Amino acid sequence: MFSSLFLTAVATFVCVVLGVLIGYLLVRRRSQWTAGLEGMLMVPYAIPGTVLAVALITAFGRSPILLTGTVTILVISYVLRRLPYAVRGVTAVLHHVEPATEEASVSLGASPARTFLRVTLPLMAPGIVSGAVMTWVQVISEIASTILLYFGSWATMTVVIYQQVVLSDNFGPGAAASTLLLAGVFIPLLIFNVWQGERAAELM
Amino acid sequence: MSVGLTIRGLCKRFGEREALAGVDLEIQPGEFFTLVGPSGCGKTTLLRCVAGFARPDAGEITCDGERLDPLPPHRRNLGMVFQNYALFPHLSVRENVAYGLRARKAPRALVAERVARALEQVHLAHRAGDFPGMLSGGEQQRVATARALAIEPRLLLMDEPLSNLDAKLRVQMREEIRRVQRALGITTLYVTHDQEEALALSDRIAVMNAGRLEQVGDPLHIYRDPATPFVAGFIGHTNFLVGAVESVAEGQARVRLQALRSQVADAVSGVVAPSSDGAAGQAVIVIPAGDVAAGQAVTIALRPERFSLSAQAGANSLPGKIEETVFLGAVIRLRVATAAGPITVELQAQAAEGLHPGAEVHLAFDAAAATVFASPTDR
Repeated sequence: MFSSLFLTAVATFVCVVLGVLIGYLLVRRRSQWTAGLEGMLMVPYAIPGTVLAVALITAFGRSPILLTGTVTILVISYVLRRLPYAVRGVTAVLHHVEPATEEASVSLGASPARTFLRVTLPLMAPGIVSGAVMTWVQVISEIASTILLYFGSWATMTVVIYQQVVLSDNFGPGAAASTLLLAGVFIPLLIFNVWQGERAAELM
Repeated sequence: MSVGLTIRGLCKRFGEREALAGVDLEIQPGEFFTLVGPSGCGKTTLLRCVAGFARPDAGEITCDGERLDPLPPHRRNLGMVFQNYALFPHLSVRENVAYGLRARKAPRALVAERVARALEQVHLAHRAGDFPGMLSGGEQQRVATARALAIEPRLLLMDEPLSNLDAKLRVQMREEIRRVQRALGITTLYVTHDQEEALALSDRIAVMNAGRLEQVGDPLHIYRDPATPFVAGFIGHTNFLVGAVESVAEGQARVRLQALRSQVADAVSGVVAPSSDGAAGQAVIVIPAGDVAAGQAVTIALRPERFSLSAQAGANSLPGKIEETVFLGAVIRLRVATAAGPITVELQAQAAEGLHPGAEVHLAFDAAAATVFASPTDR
């Protein structure tokens, strides 16, 4: 339970931070580089989790970068696979923000950094939150790569369910873990929907 | 208090397209200066170079003795009003107006005072707590103006600030802008594609075309005495007559007009210009010779209100047939087919009573009001 929440939280956080930066680059600083980045971003999205996990094990299973058997490799696999959600969330919103809004901030004397923090970031907020919720929901219920990459006490809820139900025929603990997992999926969704409803009412 | 703006040799290229081809401009302190021209003429690029959002390839921009072009946009201290207002939707009206002062770390009391004054100026003090999404287009425009003025900028830059408003509000708002500008005496650089707006607002106007200034002058001068056929066609409505000078005597030139098939609006600029097949027609007119010589090809620009109708033929009159009448309230606009092509005439409504399409008329005009250009030979 803890491992699931912890891993998901870390992976979601990393996804959101990277998503905001990459999303901003893709929309506001367009170049050949960012176009290439956008294409590459979608590749892990299309690769099955098990394949990605095996690739990670092959790449990082020996020196100099030994990551197998660490939390890091789990987070890396989650981030790689789910980053597109976070990025898409940000770009979808940012495409609707007029560049003039940021130019207005700059013309009023705010530095580019201040503009990003005071104008761009708040305007991206809905995209960031929806991207984060999507990432959270996907990561917490992910099993394909976890089953290959997890170790020791870092068995996530999905792994526990799999072990209990498929390997040991223990439906009791499996069902309990499933209930917790569903709570972990639906509570954030519920909060998100309520928040969105309030925001919509506020902007009316 | 107010400062001038000097632009020298400004060039800007976007790939193949030359957006600004060496623009020189001198704007006086306190002046309301308008850049007007068709879309793509470079007026917005020029404004964005001054604001710092576009980097000129060459040239200098100087304000108050200080070079602006090397400064990043947030250090130029210019107030800018954008076409779509670009208000911050997540901030209240008050916060929007306070934004520039907060960025300058102004003391709280000063912020409150300046915001209140700026909102007072645009009559929006009562909406201070509302969010931009709750305001009408006109109110949003006023918030954008107040926000730009609150920082007490050196210059006010306005990029088509009224083009998103309906016609009636546009007229009302331009009076409002002019009132605020006069009250503050702030030097203003205003960009519009609407020539009527430019005429109504400005102390001086620069007409732009294809990255160059065609003419700079006060509105009356630009309207009465256009320097080029482009200006004549873009500012107000103009009839073009094309012909060749037959003879010049006693300061008068006899011009044999060609039969124009139509006055064609240019697809890019929207400017109406003559399209001729080169055949000499029957009509001959006499105009002040100016600096034209016998044998020269000329284009003559005549405003629609410079024509009058007469019953019989006279010295400078063109026989024609009314093709269309458009009632516009105070004036009636007629389209008359003549030997020199279709001509648009505007008459006081009373003077045109009883005129119907199909009627034969003689168009008389005041030769002194004609503007004569030597026709470009490479057309």
